[in-house]
Amino acid sequence: MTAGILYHERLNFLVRGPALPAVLLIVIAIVYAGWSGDRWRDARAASLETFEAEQLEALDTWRSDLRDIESGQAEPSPYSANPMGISFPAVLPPASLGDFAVGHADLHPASGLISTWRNLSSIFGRYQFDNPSTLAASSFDVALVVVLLLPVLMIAVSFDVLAGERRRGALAMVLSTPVPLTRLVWTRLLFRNGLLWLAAVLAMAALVVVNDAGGDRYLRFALWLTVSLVYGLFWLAVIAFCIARFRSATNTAAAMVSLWLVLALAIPASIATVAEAAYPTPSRLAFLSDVREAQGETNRNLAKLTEGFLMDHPELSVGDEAVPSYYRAAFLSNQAARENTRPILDAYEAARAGRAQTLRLAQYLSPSIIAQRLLVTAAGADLDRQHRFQAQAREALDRLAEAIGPAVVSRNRLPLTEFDTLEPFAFEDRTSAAIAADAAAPVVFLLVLSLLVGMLAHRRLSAAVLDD
Amino acid sequence: MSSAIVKKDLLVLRRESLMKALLAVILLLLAASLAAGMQREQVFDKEKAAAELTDKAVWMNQGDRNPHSAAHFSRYAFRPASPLALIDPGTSDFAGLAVWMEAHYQDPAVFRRAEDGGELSRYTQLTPAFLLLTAAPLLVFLMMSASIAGEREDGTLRQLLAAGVSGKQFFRGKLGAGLRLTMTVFTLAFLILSAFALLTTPAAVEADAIVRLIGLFVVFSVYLAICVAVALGVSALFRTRQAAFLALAGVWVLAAVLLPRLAADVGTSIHPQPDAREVSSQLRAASYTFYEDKERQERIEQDLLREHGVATVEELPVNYAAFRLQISEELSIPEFERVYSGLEDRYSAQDNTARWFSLLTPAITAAKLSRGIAGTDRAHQHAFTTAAELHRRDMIKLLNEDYMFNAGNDDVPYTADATLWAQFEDFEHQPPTLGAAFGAYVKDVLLLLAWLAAALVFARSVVVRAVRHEVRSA
Repeated sequence: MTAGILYHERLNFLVRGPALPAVLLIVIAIVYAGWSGDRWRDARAASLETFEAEQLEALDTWRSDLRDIESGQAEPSPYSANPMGISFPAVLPPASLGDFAVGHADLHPASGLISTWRNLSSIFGRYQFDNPSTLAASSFDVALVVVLLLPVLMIAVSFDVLAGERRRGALAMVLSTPVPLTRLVWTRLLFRNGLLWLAAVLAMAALVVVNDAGGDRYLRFALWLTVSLVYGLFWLAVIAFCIARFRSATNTAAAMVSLWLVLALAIPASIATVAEAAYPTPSRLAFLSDVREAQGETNRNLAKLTEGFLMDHPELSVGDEAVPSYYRAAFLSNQAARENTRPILDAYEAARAGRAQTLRLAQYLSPSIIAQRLLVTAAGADLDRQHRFQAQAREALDRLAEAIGPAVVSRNRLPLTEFDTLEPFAFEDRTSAAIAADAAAPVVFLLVLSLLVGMLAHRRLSAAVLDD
Repeated sequence: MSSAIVKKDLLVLRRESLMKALLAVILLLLAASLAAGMQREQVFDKEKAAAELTDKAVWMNQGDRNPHSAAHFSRYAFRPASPLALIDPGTSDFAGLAVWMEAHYQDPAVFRRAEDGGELSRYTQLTPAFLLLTAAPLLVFLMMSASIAGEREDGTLRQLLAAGVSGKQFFRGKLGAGLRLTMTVFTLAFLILSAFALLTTPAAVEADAIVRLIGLFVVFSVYLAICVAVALGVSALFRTRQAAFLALAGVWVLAAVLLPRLAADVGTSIHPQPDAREVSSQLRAASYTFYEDKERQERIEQDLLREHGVATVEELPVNYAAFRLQISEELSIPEFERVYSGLEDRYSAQDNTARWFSLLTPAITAAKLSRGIAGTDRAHQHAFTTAAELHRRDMIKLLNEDYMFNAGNDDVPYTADATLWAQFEDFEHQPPTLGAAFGAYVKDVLLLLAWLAAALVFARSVVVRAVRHEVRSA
């Protein structure tokens, strides 16, 4: 009997319905978004590789100078192989699934210099060169297609599954056949949406293979696919519920589109606004003011600060007096800036933690939030990843300052053996398993919610038999 | 007869419970976005005022110092907030709000507020402009989808025609009903928005803010009128409410949600965003223009010696090191201008590519005009960064000249004091008035008006054709 329904569907739906345009649209959207994301990811990766190579080459030259000085092959000068010249590149490479979502990755810095010439406000250098108009518009990425476009297309291909029979007054006749209404509706829904999702999954799978960037790409894609399918299941259940709840196709469609507006746009926008208002981050301008105050204070009291630092390190003896005093001034003022701004950074972290906690709870108000968060995280374009990179870079700067500070202030050179113990920066990313573990609760929730709504829809459809 | 149709349609629409619920949700969101926007802008105003005070205090209290050393420390220029940012923050959160006016370097604007946004901030933002440009059209489409298709489906169109209603009267009545309801709700909502915006507007820019509010009202009105006309036309294309609604829902998703994002994305795919590393290198090279060119340095030195009739730099009446510093600044200026105009050209190429999509949806043009009139677009940001750069040049010159004319050439360390620091003027930027900036938006205004005309012509022709078709088939 199911085969009969499917046969009827194939003729009506494929030939006359919106199936082909919907399938074409979803494939085109995913392919375009994947192509655009791939270009963006490759450009960023190439730029970061060049930056890293340039910096490592400069560092290698610095090390050679130090080796030559220590071995007596080169005449030492106050400027050569000075510890202030140590500069490690810090880069945040795009994640292996980075072409699937741009998320926050285009807004935040992806590289920095671990150098004591820098402080916490300048560690990432000048990076704000993107067009603000296009940044404000956000990217058209695969995550957007899954979260926003797919549900709309599901609504478009599904809202009239019973409309034809109801409009023609033929539903009673259908009900008199051995086919239960529930089976008719579910079969039609699964067939129509199955086609759409099959096209979407195939298009995404093709992207995974074509844009392959190695790493844990396939594991991340497995999570991506799981989230996408569960999210699709939720919308299928909602659509079934609306079909069961409303008798006319127009009301069914209006209810679905309204639900989409509320769940996919209104609730996420409201929650974002509430979370930001409830946990405001400290002002960046206040951060800047603190950096400036610390630097100004250091510049005024350089001699006193130097004396204090040397007193804290009685083991040090003053080295080459010809080393320019601004080396020491820069080091001390940046160190003061780091210490002065630490409370602000702590407040930033507290605000971010508050927002993250709010969102972790509030995501259950809208499946679109769950899907958006998890998809962007699976693609490695989430805000948390950007913040972890920034925090790790700041920690690396602290470690470098601690390691070379005594040598800089006492105007000594860092021994080669000590330099070789310094660890270059390497971003520690979360593993796919850790990301999947965090995603488990929301995914299970979404699955349970989908089943509940689906069961409710099923029950209403059964009751509709009596009504009709 | 048209007015009877208007009355009847308004009565029907008032009875739609789903419409009422959706309208209530959107109005509630509008109120919430207004409250959030007001809070944001008030906080920002306070932060900016505090940062300006600190910046000045740190500058004035830096003690005795060499003027060039002070020029390296320098001061910041802070962007003034637009009073209408609470209606449309536009691109302002994605553009830097402070420029470091340091020696040797034209820095980009830094500290973008969007970087402090939460996890969902790149997904969607709740602002009055977003609701008016994205959510309101859906309401209009829902309201209007059955306007003609419903009459055809129920057979009431034939009854109307039998009662002597002409196609034009029918069109005017349907359009009038849609416009009247849409504009009544919008006008009320906009008056409330405007009142709150004016409450937070400084007196100095109140006149311009009022002109800008009128401009915003016109833009949103025209945009919503286009939506009404398009909805009416699409409704007339179909014989059933269901088909008309589905078509309009599709138009909405494409025109209001997806195409604006796609347009920007295509712009950056064809003209990729600048590589920050490359631009930084170009700026660094620009700042070294003088120091990298030994031949030029020699020529300039010889010219100076000849001008003053002396043989060595020590005999010059000015400090030669300071002279070199100022020359290096002046020689870097055209190089910096080349780098930044290259960036502006790239931004324009991206925006112009996106503008082609304006032919597919009026939402892109309306959004561009909205942020332009609200004073929160790229052009207003450019005016700020340009003003900051001009101020930087003047102030660094002031410091270099003090060094040049007062330090002498006897190798004694020279320091200046607070008397000189006080001459470093505070940066005060007055954004361009709408009148002055309007030229940049003429094309978009014309495009939006063309959209209105096209939508009206489309609606009228489709409605009249549908009426004729009904008459023929009767």
